[in-house]
Amino acid sequence: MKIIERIRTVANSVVGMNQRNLELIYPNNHREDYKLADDKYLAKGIMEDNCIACPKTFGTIDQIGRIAEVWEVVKEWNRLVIKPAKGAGGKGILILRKENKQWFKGQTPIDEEQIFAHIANIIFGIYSFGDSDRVLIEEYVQPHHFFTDIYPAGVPDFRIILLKGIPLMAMLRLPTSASDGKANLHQGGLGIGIDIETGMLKEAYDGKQHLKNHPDSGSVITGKRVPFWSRVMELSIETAACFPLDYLGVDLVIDQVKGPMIMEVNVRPGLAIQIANKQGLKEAIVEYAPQFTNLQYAS
Amino acid sequence: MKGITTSRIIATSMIMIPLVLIIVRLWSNQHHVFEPGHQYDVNYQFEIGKSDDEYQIKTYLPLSNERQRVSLKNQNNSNRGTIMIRNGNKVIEWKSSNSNEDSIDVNFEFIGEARQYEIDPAIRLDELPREELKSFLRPTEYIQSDDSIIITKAQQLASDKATIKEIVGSFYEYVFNMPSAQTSALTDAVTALHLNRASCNGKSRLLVAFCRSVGIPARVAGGLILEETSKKTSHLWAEISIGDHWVPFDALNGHFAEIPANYLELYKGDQFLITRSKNIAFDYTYVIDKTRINHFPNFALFDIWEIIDEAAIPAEMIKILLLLPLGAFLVSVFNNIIGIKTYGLFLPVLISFAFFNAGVIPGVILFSVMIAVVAAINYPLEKGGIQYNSKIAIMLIAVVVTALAVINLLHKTQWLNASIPLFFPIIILTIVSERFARKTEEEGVGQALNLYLSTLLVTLVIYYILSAETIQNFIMTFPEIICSLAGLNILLGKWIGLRVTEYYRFYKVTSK
Repeated sequence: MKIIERIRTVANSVVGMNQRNLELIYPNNHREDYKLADDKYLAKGIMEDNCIACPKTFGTIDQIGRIAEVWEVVKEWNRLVIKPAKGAGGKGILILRKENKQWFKGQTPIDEEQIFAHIANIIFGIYSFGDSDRVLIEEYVQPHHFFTDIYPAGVPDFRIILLKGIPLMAMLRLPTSASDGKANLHQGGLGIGIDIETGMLKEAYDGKQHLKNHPDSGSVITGKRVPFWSRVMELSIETAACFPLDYLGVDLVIDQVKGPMIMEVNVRPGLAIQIANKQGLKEAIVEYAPQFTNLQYAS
Repeated sequence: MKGITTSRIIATSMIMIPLVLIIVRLWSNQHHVFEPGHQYDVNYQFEIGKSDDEYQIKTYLPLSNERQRVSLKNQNNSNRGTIMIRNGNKVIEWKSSNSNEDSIDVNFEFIGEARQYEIDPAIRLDELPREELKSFLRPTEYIQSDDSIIITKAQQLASDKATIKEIVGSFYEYVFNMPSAQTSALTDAVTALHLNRASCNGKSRLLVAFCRSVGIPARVAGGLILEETSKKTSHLWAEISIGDHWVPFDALNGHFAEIPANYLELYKGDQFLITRSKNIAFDYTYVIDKTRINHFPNFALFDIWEIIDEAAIPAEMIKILLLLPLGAFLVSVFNNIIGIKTYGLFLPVLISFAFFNAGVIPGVILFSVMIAVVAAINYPLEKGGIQYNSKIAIMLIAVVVTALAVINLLHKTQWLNASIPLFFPIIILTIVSERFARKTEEEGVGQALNLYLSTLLVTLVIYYILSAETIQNFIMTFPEIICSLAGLNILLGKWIGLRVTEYYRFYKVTSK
């Protein structure tokens, strides 16, 4: 009986793939606007135009011939992030650090020739399935000590889902040793539900079970309060407002010095956030956006 | 709300209109689609040369029974034969003193069903046959069940076996494994055993002789194997009385306790299909035409069978074309209702078509080996930083080389018939490998392998659905059904419920 009860609860509260597509994505986002989110270069342009805090762009390259020229400018910085504008799932991102004029990727030294080859590969479309792509060279975000206290490696980020500018659900994605520094749930990262009103961390979901502590460091997660939470929420609302997308996922990071910053926006935010929060999106809509509870936009 | 109703009305009418049309067609036409796809038109054509003497010709006509339906058509002969029932067989006999050349034409229609019999394993040899079956134990001229060589062999084969099923199985096995001879000459049971080589008539007589020698009633039965051709060869098989049935066994063509749909039963007992006076010049042919019965011409928008028959368009091509939408619909049911993901919508359908040609087992092997090769070379290519297009091209070369190797291997193990057209399957499997490579790139080998397994599962399910003859016949006969499929797709496209697998995925949402 209990199982049947729980299955019924799942059916009544969770938004599945079919409903997400038909009632959240399609009626709220126009197909031609997807690229504003999918292409990080375009997304960044919109955010910069609207003075949304995001990592500073040092340079962009879309032609092989311009690599050397742009490199001359950006190589003055001590830390760089090189990423493909149309890459997905964190692929093709190269984080560089300079020590005594020598570049390092993690602890491994890397010479300029290898960096140029990586940039060329991005432009060739290695990370965008043959489509030619553009390279973004950005400022490195130093994760706030709140995160490094829980687990010292990788780049943790927040995902906030908004419907017509109203935040519905939030999740913190933390890397683990299993996820190899990536905060992706598919790759063994942790998804931690967040109470969006208080910024309090709920339990962590590792793809199999809910945990109260980080599996590697053992640090307590549940019950901690995210710093700058109200600023995080405001920033996500401001970001949603400057995109013509009414249902979207906003990805943020908190920099040790600069505070909350937007990394990217996503038109097809994943549904695992519901498991991390132990709450269905339908419930969240009833709670935070009751005026949109009648999810029958589809025509 | 309004939008939803509109699309629902459209979808419902798209589903219903073809169904109504199909019902009208079913009513207004006499044929029945669910019956076997073919009936046979059989013609006995006898030519009699000039003769001064009287002559006599006798042959058998089929009787309808629980597995064959026969209807005799007009005989266009000046000389009408006399029909009588003799020993349970229907005999037709012509007598004439006509000195001119003459021809006899007998024509009938046949619809048959395959039959398989279960032999009760409890029946033992020591149960005595009923009185009326005693005559089927006696030796005859060609079935020498009293010959010592037959008796010795039969006892050797039946030793330490008690049930009829085991004994008959052992006899059948022996006769079936005996080399076949391509001859229509009469071979008796003893000769067949001596030569260790026989055609249908020798094998059937030997099997019957074995049975009779140990006390199991048996007889030979004669008829024609129907196929679209003209021929002179008739066929003989054995019938063994087990329980209350005469159970058919064809030890030449490998039918154990079964009779195929295209076997026309003409007579029981060791008879000649045609007996005639020796003094005449005589020639005969059995002309057999396959005709279609799942044909519903009235109110048909497209009569596909007619197009195929008249314009000589290969049925295979139209069949594939019509099965494509059904396959795609099934895949989207798997994707959107069940929640099993696949490589796109059309690929599982195309892969299952590839299995049509290559066969399921060789197909799955070919498919899996190709995928394994792509997975194996992906890693070094990625490490080497090879650009995407070049990487895919290299994978393609590896896939082609592998395909050639696998085909060679399957061919040598005789799993694959060399004449099977493999161009289409290989092209499809190559495309699949590319998709797999792409997925590997996007989400890693683990995710790609997952997708491979779920695609394989879905492919096998739709393969078995699409290869079902009833479904193929139905969609060929009533192609308007694809409009209903479009309607169903509209409903499916508006379906917002959770996918079956999502109940499992999100079950933890409810944990407290």
